[in-house]
Amino acid sequence: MVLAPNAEAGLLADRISLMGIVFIPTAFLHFTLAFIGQIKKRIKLIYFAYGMSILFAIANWTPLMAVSVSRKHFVPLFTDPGNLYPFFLMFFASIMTLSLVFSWKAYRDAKTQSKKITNFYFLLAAFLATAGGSGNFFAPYDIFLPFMIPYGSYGVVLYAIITGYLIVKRRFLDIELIVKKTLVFTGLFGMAMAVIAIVTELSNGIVAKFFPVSSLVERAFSILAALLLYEPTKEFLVRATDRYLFQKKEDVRVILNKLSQNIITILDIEKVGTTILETLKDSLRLESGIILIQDEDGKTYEIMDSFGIQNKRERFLKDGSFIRCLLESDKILNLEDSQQKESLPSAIRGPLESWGAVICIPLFIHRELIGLLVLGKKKSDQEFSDDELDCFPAVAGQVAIALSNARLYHILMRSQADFAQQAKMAAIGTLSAGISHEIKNPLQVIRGIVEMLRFNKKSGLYKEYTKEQYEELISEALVRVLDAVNRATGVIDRLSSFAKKPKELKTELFSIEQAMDDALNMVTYEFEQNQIVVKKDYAANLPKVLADQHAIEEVFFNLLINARHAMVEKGIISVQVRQQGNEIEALLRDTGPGIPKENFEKIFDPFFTTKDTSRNPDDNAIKGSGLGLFLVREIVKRYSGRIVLESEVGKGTTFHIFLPASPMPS
Amino acid sequence: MSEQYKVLMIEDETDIIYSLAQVFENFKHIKFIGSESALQGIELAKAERPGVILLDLHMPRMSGEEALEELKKLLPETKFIVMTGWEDGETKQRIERMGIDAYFSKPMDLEKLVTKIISLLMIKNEVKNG
Repeated sequence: MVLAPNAEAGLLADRISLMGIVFIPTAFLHFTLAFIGQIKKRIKLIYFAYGMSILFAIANWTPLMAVSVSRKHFVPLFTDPGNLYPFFLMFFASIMTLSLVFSWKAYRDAKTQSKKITNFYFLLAAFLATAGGSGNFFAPYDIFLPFMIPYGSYGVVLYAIITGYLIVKRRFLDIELIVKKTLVFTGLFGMAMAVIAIVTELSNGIVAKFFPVSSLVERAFSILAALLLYEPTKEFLVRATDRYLFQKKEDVRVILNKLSQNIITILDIEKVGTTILETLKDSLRLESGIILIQDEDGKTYEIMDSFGIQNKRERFLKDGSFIRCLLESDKILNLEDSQQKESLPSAIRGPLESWGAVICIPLFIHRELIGLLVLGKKKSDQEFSDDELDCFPAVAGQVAIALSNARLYHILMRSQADFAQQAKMAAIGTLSAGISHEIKNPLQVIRGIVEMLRFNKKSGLYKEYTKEQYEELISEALVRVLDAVNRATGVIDRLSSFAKKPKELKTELFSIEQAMDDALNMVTYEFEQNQIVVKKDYAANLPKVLADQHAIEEVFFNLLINARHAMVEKGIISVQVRQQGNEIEALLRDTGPGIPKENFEKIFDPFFTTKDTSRNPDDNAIKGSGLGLFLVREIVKRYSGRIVLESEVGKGTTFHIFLPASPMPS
Repeated sequence: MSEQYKVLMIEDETDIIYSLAQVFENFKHIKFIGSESALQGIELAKAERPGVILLDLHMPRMSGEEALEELKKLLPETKFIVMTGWEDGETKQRIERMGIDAYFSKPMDLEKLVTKIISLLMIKNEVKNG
């Protein structure tokens, strides 16, 4: 417009340039908000600004904005403002001012030093651009501001340069990834070519003089050398670009997602720790990281996994100053925040600094410090961004849950294994008296009958017998002997089948009454000794169930033993088996003291026990281990069954075990 | 036939009673009585007043130990032989303190048991007659 040949062409050019100008404040606002990360917060303002700009853009093609162009005293042709033009200027000025205010606020509120510096430069650039560029708007009114007119526009250029630098250096927008990949590729390609060229050259020039080899071998050798150098060079280039040019930008939500996907399903505690560190290392590009975890006894914290640190054997006592101070501060520590760093007690600073750590995230579960996640600085030397700092509490939550789950699972699995062993030993202990009785009685029968026959024969008693009488006596005696042998065998079979429980999930069709009878057999002696009477009531023609008979026997055995311990001495256990719709219900009712309502849920928790374990330590180990009912529930759940508990204090407890009835004919 | 020649066996295992009953077929002058439960055994002991009672220590409902205590009160002069299938030092000591005349572990040597029963019957008889 300035240099247009005539007024008409000048006006057209002016309007075209105004089309761009009406969007300047809006674009500037949008960019500012994007830069300081407040787009979402002020999205309505952005929409408003765009709306206004569009209105002005439409108005631009009427005489409302630019009536014509005319000579101003410093430029040949410039806008003659229409009626709307002053309003546009007001809009322009207020949006620009608002953007500057936002930038200033972002600068004022920046949490870290690096953010503050970034925002400061951004504010400075924005100010220069605004101040410089706005000089042009005085021109239509023929107001001449010396210096501003020819040079003011350079402010805009300066703005572009500064923000461009900030984008590259201070990780903004995704261009960095493209540039980085290009750089790494170029570097690698160049390296490979150079290696091949150098090796070939060298071997041509020197080696070939002493070792005559064909050019093909030379080439192969060069390529091999290039290949060998490929990995280290790649590592070096990636690290170098990371460090000197960019910091890999990763959306913090992506980090969180990745983390939760990676760790939430892992139950192996060691693997959880490794995965957490690997994920954070890769996504945040960290130099070091450490996970400390509380011991099972809860007294010490030790390094579970780490990378990038030397001393991996450090331990901290719960009562030690490091952990105590951490518990007091009760928050995520950021040593990049110099203010916070200085306010930290040396008990915390010491260990953290010795690891080169900058972030220390305490991991709490139910207000119990179960561990620490300690992060070192980034490879790029950049400080952690606000977004990243904001996502650490969520990371802490997930990591704490994953670690605590894995730890519980670990303890549970081990104690379950221990318990299975304990239960076996205890059951064998409990049963041994009964077993011995159960076996010695049949043995007594066998011995008694054999000796009786010998004795009576010797004494001549049988001489009085007729042949038929004698034969009948012998066959009767033999039946009794065989019966005793079978009984003793049965006892031993029961014992051994109980002792070697199959580990894998086994399913078989069996009658629940049989399982109940077998379990009852195992406790018969124990019950008789304590004068506990068993009342059985089995419905006829029940369908079978599909489960592991031994496991279900274990369920009944545990419930029976619990009932016996609850009743202490004398009592009645009613056992019923019946069909309820598609399920088989096994019911065990005792006349014990009952369970208070508040313990209904708890009794199935592992390690929950009301049995006094200290009173009689010699008593079998099942008693008071707190795992009996937990195992019962686990087993029943495993076979798609359910447990209903019914209990009244002072009257007794009833357990209803429901297992799906097999649809197959029994 | 006098009361001294009665033997009562309280034992929940029928076939053990059977084997001993068969042996006592040889001794026409001894009345062998078997009982499969402690309660019934006490009733029989009251009625028959046997000279020797064989008592199994492990029985359902009423244990041999309780039965022994009651029987000793009822029949202070009767001789007691306790039979057990399970060695438990404490129980054995307790039983022996209660004053028994013999203690047999299953599986018992039948000949020895019968010899013991008869000798106890004789002693009792001698004491009574002497």
